[in-house]
Amino acid sequence: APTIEDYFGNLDSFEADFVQRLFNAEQELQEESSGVIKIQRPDRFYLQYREPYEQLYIADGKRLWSYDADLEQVIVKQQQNLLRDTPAMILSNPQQLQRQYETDQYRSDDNNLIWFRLTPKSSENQFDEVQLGFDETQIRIMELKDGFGRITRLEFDDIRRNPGFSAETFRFTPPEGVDVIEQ
Amino acid sequence: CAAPPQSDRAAPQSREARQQQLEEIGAWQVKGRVAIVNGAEAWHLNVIWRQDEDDYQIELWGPFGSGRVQLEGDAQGVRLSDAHKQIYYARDPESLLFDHTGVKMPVSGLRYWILGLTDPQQEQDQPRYDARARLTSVQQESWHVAFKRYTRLGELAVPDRLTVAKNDLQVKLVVDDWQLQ
Repeated sequence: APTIEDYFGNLDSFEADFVQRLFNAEQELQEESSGVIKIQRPDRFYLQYREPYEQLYIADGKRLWSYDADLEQVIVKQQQNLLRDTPAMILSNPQQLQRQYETDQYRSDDNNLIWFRLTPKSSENQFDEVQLGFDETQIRIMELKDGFGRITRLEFDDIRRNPGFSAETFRFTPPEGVDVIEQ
Repeated sequence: CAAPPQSDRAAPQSREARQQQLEEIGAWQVKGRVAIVNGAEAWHLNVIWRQDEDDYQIELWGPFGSGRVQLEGDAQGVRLSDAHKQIYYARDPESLLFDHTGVKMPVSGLRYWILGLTDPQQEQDQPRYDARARLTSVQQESWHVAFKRYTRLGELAVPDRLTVAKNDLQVKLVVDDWQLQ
């Protein structure tokens, strides 16, 4: 199975369907959502939640666009430190990953995933612990735990490594009639 | 003669009856999304709001569950815990959120507006109702509250699109899931 370096070493772009589950500190499931994630190293990603509602986040390398059709609104923010400790950064930016996290091979479990544990080197990171579960070829599960024991769990499916995206993929043009708030 | 203006067609007592039914709801939960614009700053957040009489728990988060903030409070006071393990206390949610985010979020008012009620603790001005006695807009202490759309909850109608605005703060709420506890 790949080590983290092997896995992320030659990862240039990544696409997958995901299911996201949020658990509160008592480990009760609070929300489940699903969608598609596309990542292009080092700093562009496309994150679309499809269920139970539509939400779109696009990082085009300079700015992060967030669009919610029901809220009829687009928010545009400068990208730099917004992505520091989000899954998008972890998946797309191994140098930053190594700089910010200690990684150790942690355990393998009964459905033979190999797990790595990432613990932040500094306390500003939002997540206290990140766990990555790999099968022989792909990352399957990412779990992020915050200081209160609340967990965000992402399960990836239909994964495509290095699919190669057109530049269009990470460009966002706000729909007609939607208010755009630039920060 | 001309039909009475829209807001009077509903028989008055159905407005009182509706208000009474809503006021009897002791515990509810709302899951949804909120857009907050505060001058030049803006956020899109997911929200879960649980209310049980005066006890409430409000959780806000962004994409990937990032930036999770939780407010837990009752009539005496409120506690805020953020993603960086910091915990803050205050007497009221408005001052706590303002200190933490710079936004004067009308939490106490939203508790009633979310149900389609006016906030009994605030002056109210020019309430408008639709033909089915549902509140469509009201002004409460310079908060302009607009109930844009209603949805069914049992045999009651409750808002699932709501905007609240005052000066350069605008809050838009979309409710995806309404529940009575």
